[in-house]
Amino acid sequence: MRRRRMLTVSALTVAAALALSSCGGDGGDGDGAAAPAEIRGPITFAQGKDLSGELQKIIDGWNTAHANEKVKFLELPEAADEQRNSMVQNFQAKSDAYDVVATDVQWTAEFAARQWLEPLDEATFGGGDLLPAAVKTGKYDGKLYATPFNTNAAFLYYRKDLVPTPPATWAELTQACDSVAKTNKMGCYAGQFAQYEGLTVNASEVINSAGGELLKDSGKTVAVDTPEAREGLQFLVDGFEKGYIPKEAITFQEEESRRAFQQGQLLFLRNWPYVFGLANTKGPDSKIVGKFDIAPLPGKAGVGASTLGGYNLAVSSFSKNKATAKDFIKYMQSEESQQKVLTEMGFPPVLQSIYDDTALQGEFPYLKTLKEALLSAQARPASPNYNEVSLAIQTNAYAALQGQKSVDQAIKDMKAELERAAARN
Amino acid sequence: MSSATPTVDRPERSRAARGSGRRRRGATRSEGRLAFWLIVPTMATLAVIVGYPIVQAIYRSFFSDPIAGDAEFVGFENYTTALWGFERTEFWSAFWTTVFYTVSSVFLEVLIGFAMALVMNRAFRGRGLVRTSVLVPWAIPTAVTAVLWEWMLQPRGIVNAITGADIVWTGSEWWAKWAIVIADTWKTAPFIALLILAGLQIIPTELYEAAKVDGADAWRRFTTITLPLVKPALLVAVLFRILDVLRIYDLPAILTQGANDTAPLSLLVVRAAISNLQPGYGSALSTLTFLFIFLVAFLFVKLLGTNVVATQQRGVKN
Amino acid sequence: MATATAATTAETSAPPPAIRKQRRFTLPTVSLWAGIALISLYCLAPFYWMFVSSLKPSNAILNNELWPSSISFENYKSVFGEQNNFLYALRNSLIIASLATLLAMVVGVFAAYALARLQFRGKFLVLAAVLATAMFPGVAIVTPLFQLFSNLGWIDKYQSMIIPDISFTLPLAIWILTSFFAEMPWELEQAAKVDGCTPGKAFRLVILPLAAPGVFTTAILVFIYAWNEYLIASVMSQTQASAPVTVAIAKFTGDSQFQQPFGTQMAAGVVVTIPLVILVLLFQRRIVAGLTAGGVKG
Repeated sequence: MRRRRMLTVSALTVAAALALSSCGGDGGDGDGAAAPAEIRGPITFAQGKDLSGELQKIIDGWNTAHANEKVKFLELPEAADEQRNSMVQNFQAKSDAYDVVATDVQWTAEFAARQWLEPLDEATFGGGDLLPAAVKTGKYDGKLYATPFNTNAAFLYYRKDLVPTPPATWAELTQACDSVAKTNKMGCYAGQFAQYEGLTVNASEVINSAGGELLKDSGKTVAVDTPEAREGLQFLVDGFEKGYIPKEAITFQEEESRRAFQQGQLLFLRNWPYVFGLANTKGPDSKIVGKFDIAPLPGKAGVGASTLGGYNLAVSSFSKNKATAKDFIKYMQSEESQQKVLTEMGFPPVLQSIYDDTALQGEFPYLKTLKEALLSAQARPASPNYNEVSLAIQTNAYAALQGQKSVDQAIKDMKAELERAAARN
Repeated sequence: MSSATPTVDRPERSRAARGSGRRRRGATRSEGRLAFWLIVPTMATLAVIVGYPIVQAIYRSFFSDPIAGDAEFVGFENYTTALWGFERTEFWSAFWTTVFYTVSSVFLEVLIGFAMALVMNRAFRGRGLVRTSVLVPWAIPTAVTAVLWEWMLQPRGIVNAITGADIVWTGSEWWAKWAIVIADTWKTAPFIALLILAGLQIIPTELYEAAKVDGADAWRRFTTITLPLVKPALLVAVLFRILDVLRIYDLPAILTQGANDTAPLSLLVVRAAISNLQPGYGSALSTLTFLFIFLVAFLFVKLLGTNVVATQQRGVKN
Repeated sequence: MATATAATTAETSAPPPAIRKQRRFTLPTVSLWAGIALISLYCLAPFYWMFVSSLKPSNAILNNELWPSSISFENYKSVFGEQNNFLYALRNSLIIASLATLLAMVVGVFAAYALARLQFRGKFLVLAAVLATAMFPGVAIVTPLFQLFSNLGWIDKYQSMIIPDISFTLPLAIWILTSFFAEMPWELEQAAKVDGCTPGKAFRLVILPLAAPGVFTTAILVFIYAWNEYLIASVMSQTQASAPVTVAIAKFTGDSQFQQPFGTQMAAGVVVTIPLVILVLLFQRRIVAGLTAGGVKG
């Protein structure tokens, strides 16, 4: 009797567990695809942490004009990976918690391929004054799924007191290394070389700047096995071998490289626009106030191709109030909002006209160079398996930079791993 | 009334002497029922929160990871990919790296932890403060610890500054591995120290006094009284530490992002399941990790006899 | 003579009697103090660096001074500033960790009592099953749990973190408590029963106080685990209504998107460690108190 009772309770416990779990499962909060696209109502906008504190003001502008369709700003963690995890968890659970999401330019293919994003109208969100390279990052398989909110491209920062004319090619750069950097006993060049997304950025940059390519056809064809790609990677490998990239640069992310440059340890630095203002701030942090300037990145035979960064806005397929979501995105792309993106939040805007405004150019001296860089920028390879792709690039580039693999072997292995990522469908 | 016998070279006997007295067999039925109800809350919680996801994960591991569309049944393909397929270099590298972390960390932690516990067990003024400060490494959230060590180990950071070295800690395989071991040991030696200390506190002083009367020196007292009596607490501590280090994730993730072959198995799991959106492959990796840990725990218990239940029964046998 | 004095182990916390005031610098005493110094250095040196870094202004964060030349509280201001909502996070952590500890201890003590003091078949199985749940990598459990709690509407509520915390700490709690309870001599319970106590009362009034070192140690470890848990919390909490300190710290930012807010993180680390230190200071007396209960002396 006792044993039977125990068995019953045990069975009930297990059954309860299973029942709870099945009332989990894919019931979810509605299957997003079925919800009609014309519904309006309050929405939630999920974005990584807003450092300036000004985003809420831009949103308030919308909220005052749309009392019944208020936008709630949900702050996600600062790190891009954490933001992505949060969005992925919500999409996988088919939850309608997030209506509008701020997605990194590299997440479009991934999210769109899994049908987590609502397609957007190209005429409204894909043309006009928007920067073409940025718009491209919102496309997957010919359709538009995300539209630019802010963007980013990198410069070559150089010490104008030591090198009056910035190098336009890699050959000129290494020349300056052999002469100027050596005499001044400083490191010559650094970018971001730790094994993380920043290395994918730097690696794809040098490969593109040498005329090579990584992936084609929305991530379906691998095009990295070329002499150009090898030349690109060789530029960085030579830097480590010959010593004009300091060996500690293998641990550099954006901040470490910025600090090294600001402390006068580097002649040239590859980094994003945010460094400009910080390096010019007087204080113990920067020994180079007024001594540096910016130029487009050098390439193998001419101007190099900076990698495109930035964030897009997209509508979740599981959102209930898609019409409001789309109108809100349009509002965030308006000239007024985009001006605030630059002046209040400090991010490069996505409307070309803003870069040509002379008043703003005075306030932000890097605007002209930035526009040049943006017009020749190339995005990292788009793929529904972007993380695998990025890992393939990072790990092999890192091994090559450390001398553990020859450049040839690194490219070959990169090709094999990229093919594997591309094959998954 | 404790009847600790003067000769202490057979602690079994003294424990048995303590445990003399027969249990009444007749209480078994109601005991069994009572035991059942006492254990049900535990089993229910674990079944729902841990059991169900584990079962789901194992089930999912037999399916593919398509981008769009439904997952197909692929049998053991995810497992073979890891063990001898495309990902085998990565998998086995992570496997041996995890083994390295476990063996070095646990060894160092037990050494340091035991020493700390012995010191903290003594009477001296300010003992409370020392005990509290010992817990500080364990108390700091792991993510903060990882960031702290990341900064201390930068090429121009404080560690290189104080030791005068010029090591690129996180940039080379073995320095990075030892950096992870050092940071982990720093953080968790207190855990072991605390458990051992609790175990030491239960040892009655009469045993030591009787041994001293018999002329046993400090080392002999340590090996014949302290070690055997602290063994249960020590073994539980070590067992759980082993389980924990085999699943280590935060420190390598933050210090090296898994570069230079410093990635442990858990990092591969996170990469597959979360970064690469491959729940099937990720589940296969976690199941393989689980099987490995199970094997280790099984061997541990078998060899060292962490049979807390046997302790009980030994008392009964007398 | 002094040797015997210094070598007494497991002494109660009472100060040494007046006759033993004279401590000579014998090897055991010196080695004891050397040991204490080493331990303190080992445990506190990195924490000291953390504390010092939290006091440095952001433009001095890189230098390796052992004491900041200019002390600044800007990091602490930043931690508690409105950008970071840290007070809410502290409140949440306190609630989650306390409840998780309370419930885990109750459930764990029940189970450990059964395993250590009662006779039934399948003990080893239970212990093995409990242990097995501690063998799975946490990340594999997160997604199914998220989906389950999402459907129960528990996201961004305390219970979605408390219950998993209990589950993850139960194995350790049960194993430690079982081993401590199993060590307790039988005669005590028998003596109590002879005196008229029920088994439950005997357990509560006799065994539990004796096992106090193990019980309080377990409680402290469970609390610290729940306090420092990140993986589950990061997934289950979305706003400051339920986000604990670990999640809040992960959301700290510097002045720019690439800046790692090292100073602020260190300040937060200091702030977060203090309640734990206080907790331990309170509880560590109890670890000793169990010994002075004198039960063993009968």
